Amino acid sequence: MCVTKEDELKEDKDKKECEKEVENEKICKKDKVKDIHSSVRNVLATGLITSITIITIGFLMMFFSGEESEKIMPFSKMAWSILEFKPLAVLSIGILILLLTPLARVLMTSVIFYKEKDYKYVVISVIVIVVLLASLLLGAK
Amino acid sequence: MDLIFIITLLILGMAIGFLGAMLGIGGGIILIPILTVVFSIDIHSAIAASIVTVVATSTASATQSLGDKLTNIRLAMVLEIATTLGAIAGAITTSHLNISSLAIIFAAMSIYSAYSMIEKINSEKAKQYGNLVLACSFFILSVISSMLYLIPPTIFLICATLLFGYLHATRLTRLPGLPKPEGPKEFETKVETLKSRVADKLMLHNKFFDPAWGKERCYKVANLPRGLALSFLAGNISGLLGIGGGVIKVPAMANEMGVPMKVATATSNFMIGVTAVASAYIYYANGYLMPMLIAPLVLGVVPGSLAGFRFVCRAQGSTIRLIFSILLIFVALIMLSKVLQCV
Repeated sequence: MCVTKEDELKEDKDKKECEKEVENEKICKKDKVKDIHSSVRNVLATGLITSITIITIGFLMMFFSGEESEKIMPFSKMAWSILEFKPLAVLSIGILILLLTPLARVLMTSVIFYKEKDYKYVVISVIVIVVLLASLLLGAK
Repeated sequence: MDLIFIITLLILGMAIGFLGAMLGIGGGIILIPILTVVFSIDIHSAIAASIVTVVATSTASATQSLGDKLTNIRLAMVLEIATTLGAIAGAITTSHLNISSLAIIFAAMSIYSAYSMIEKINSEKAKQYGNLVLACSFFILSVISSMLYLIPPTIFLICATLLFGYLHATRLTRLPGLPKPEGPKEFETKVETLKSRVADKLMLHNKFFDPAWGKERCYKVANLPRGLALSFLAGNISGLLGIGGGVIKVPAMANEMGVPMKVATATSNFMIGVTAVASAYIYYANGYLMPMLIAPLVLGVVPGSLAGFRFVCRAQGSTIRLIFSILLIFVALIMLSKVLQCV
């Protein structure tokens, strides 16, 4: 990242506190699974690329079919219309995949924490998943 | 659909994504006024469109920043409980508020964002007078909204006035025993003395690679309850106005919880995706999402923010931040004029 003048000035002061930092080092616990960042990143990247591709396809289909639609397709209609390959359904599913990517990311972290046997964080992840699902169900009504 | 309209939206999305990633603020605070004022789109649909672009921006930039391993995923998970709950509450509230109420809260939020931009330029002066200026401007806004019989924003703005008034007062009468928050050494001792039992148990403390040091550096997370409360507020405003809410989360983590600035920024950005999605589902259900508006914006915002991320270093200059904060105050005035127009 960026190194500004402020950072450079801080550096001298900070070096004096290096000894203190060594003590602090004991507090820090290493992540057992090293690739937590990269696996979360893969989930996000996959979701983003998929949704962008589908949104582009759906958008072009909408544009060339000349179909006018103000509102997004609700969940209930989507299942049937996607089989018929309707432009609005394709576009809606692209947007939906974009919106489901963060949920997939939370699911992924919960799996990683379960593998780490870090059960506190499995519980925390599950709470977040439940809140998101509640919002999704509140939405599907 | 008009081709020119679509291309304009695409370019607008790119510009918003670029600026947002470069300056480290969500684009929503600029996008919503443009959509409502220039394109005369209904404010609820503009908020819904903005929240989807926020999800796209956060996801795109998280794929970049996760490589640096600055993000504290554990801290993000804990705070996400509060932000998602806040976002759901905010999204439900939005559908019950009228345009004037939303516009006036939006004006208050853009004034606050302008303040946070100025604070980055000159934190000393901003800390001295910033809270007072904020309290005064929120007070004026609360008077305006009470004159228009807008009850919810009046209550909200009076609370904000009291909060910033309190912050200013506590700054003036700082007890001699309390450490100054400025210096890194004093800050360190301040963080040491803060209670962090819960954070200890949750193993929130972590380390990151500090380029200024050239080695890994440890940090402790403190003040978890206050952080959770502020995260709830950030989530609430995010759901209410369709903005990312990083302007609240980053200072909450950096100033209150003792998280280093770079980690706070990365973690906040990581959290924004999940927070925004919680309210986006509700906007989806309420039928506020307009696919032909959202698609070009999203397709513009993703490459825009990926490009903007590479220019973060060049945006350290104070001029660009000053221009942007003036722009934000201008946005606040536009939103206020919209409020008065509706009456």
